[in-house]
Amino acid sequence: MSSNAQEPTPPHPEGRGEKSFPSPFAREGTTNSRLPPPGQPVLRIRGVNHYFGTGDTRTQVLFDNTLEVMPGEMVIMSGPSGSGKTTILTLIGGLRTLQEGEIEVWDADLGDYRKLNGVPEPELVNVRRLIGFIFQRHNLFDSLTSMQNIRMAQRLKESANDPDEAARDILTYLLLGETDIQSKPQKSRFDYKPAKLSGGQRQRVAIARALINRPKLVLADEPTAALDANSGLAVVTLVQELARERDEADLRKLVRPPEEAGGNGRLAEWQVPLLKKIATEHGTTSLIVTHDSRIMNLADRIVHMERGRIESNVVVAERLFVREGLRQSPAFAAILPEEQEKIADSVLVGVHPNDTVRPDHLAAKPGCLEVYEPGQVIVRQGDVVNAESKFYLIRRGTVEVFREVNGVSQTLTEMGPGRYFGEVAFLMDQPRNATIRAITRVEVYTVNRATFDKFRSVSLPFIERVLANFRSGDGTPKS
Amino acid sequence: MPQPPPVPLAWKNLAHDKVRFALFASGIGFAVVLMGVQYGIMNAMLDSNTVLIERLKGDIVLINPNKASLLFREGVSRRRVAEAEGITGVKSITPVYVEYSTASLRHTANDPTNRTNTRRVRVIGVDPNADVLDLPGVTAEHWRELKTPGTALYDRKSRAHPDQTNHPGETVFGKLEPGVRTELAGRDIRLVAGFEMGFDFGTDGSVVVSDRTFEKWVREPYYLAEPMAECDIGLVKLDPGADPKAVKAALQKKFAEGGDVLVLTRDDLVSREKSFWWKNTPIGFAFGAGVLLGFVVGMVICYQILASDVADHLPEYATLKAIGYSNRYLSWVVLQESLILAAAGFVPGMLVTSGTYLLLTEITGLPLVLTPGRFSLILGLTVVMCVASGLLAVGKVKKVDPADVF
Repeated sequence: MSSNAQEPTPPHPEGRGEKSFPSPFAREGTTNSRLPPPGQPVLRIRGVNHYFGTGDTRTQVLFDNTLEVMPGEMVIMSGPSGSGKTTILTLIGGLRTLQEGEIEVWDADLGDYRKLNGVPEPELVNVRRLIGFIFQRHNLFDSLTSMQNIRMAQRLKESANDPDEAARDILTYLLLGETDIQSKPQKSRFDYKPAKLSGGQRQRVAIARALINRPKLVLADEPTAALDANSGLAVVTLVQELARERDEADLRKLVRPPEEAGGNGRLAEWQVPLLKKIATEHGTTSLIVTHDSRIMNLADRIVHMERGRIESNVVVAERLFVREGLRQSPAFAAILPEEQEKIADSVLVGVHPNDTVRPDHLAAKPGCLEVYEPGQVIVRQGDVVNAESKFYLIRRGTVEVFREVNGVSQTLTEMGPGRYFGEVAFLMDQPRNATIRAITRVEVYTVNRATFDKFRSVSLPFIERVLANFRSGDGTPKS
Repeated sequence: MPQPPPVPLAWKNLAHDKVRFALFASGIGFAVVLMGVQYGIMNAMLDSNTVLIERLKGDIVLINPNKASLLFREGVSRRRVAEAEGITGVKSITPVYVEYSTASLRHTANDPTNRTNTRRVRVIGVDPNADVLDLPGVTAEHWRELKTPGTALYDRKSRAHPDQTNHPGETVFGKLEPGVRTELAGRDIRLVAGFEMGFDFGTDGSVVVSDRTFEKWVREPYYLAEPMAECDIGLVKLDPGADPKAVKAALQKKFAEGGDVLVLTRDDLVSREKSFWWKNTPIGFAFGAGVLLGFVVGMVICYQILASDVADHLPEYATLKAIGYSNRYLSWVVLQESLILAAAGFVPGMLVTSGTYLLLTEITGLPLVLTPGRFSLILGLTVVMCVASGLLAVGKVKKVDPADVF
């Protein structure tokens, strides 16, 4: 039995695995947000199919799509044109009648989910009011000023704030007020009609209209496509701040000189307190269709669609967590990085590592994740390794590692999230040399030996070739 | 909780482009003028036949039930009419005589070339002391003069001479003015003063004479025995403070048994007369069709305006739907637009209509009058016209697909 296989692995550099990832669902600092019960999504989609046309021309455009989005997440929808992104957004927003499947949207005022299947048009109106829509086209009324266009949205929801002040604040924050990005006075665009505004300014007014009621769900289609870098950053930062409160110091990092900001944009000093004033509520979830890399990099979840199907649904933090966990394990050193990533992606369950998984998550991705209650043994010393034996990466909870020597049980260590075990037996083909038992409720990602061997076999020839090149070079063997 | 003030979207959408809005308003205004003028002419036609009745200074009238119109000869017995005098609330009963068929007026000017052809004229015979006709411009002195047999008051608004170039200001009866001696029913008559009443379907003009002149000039040649046994209208004046309804009911009761006297208020008689002409001439159809045409034209114009407005703002309406506005709100916006168009078209339309009324009255002599009731009816038609168009256009806005905004 290998002793090192089950021995506790040193903590990750920078303490990875021991600390929590910044969760989009953090409740601290959240005010006045009636969010769903802990662990429950703000949006739930199950088995959604959709068809266009009737009779012989009836064509299926969405195929059995299932997705959950947690409160406060920024979800990026990606995929080629015609893959069904927009259709699924319109179904979520209640803009189309749901034909097959289930969609539930959390209604903070109701304190419950609103189901969209079988809902007649008048009731869909109530669902639409929960949502802030940002369209690619601004669709402002030419006859109304910026303030009046925003007021059209404000009329739909009562607010404790002075409506005019709220509208002026958000327009000012979006650089349409009396101060520009360089903190110089400028003529405000409050009373401008769209004809007198540039394309980007119109889009910002439309964004202000979408966000003025602090919706709990934002559906956006290329929201920053028409915006300059500074305006784009202001929009994205506002969406993020509505999702979860950030430290003012953190925000001030975005107040930077133009040469430093480059194409990423910057905020003005005065925008930071204004942002705090506007975003008094948090927990806003956003689903954004975009190709803007500035937003892509901020995503909490990336949903990729192909030909009407959700092909991948990745919580970015979970992907990082698993990839980092595998990368740290010496057992995976023999596997090429891209193959490591494939293994990592194959075990993802689409739940943030800070959040507990539910039984339906396990059922949806069988064999990827196991849950153990306190006291349950995960690996027992002496167990024979076979094709079904697994490598484990702790997702949540704490385990203890102990070994029996001459009938005496000896606790070796305790391990928490981000730590792994079970890999040495893979490599050495020996029985387990220690017992791992759950101290708390434990969730572990698992990679079985068959999978491991498959990817290793793909990687080995490449590694062998690299080593052969080294050996044939200057004759200096690299061992 | 503070609620932002409503945005007058309908008004803003329409008034955003002022030139376009002016064109819209003029389109609706055109329909208003069309309806107003047609309706005005129709009413003028009917009104012209009731001017005499409206000039009667009495509350209740007694007529022969078989007298379908003033034009017809059927009279009511003076003896029977006099029986009403005992009824409580009745102050006086005065017979009024009207002759259409047997009387004619001809100008007998000294210069033979100025003499006119004989034309039928309406002759109204009244007791000059009884004060039964409201004829502005006719003084007490004129009424006294009228007591002299062979005198008459003439109608300055008799049908105009067709050749106004050579006969400026003249009527078809020639040049009528106080002091002129002419010929009524073949006998000399002297004109005392003029009044204004106008012509109608049955006559080209009227003269008013005393009952004695009426008897001698008009009746005696045709009714040898008891020429004044019947009058055309028994005009009932009431005591001050008497309730016309109660007196009318009492009179109806009084004459119910005989069935030879019909008791009506003056307004009833006006309605009865109009109804006769409405039913027995194509006035209603001809001008009613004109009003309908105006209505339809207005509806089409209004619908085009509203439908194009919806089409122009399709993405915006779709956006409103997408952000949570109901079909009911959008429909209300379209209906508001229709009401704004109604108001914007009605005001200038009625100004033009009023001007047209004055012009037509001046040209034709027809009494085109815009009463509050008629004003309200045109307003009502305009509103119904625009709202009906609005309701049609609502269908378009209801079909707006909010999914189109993505």
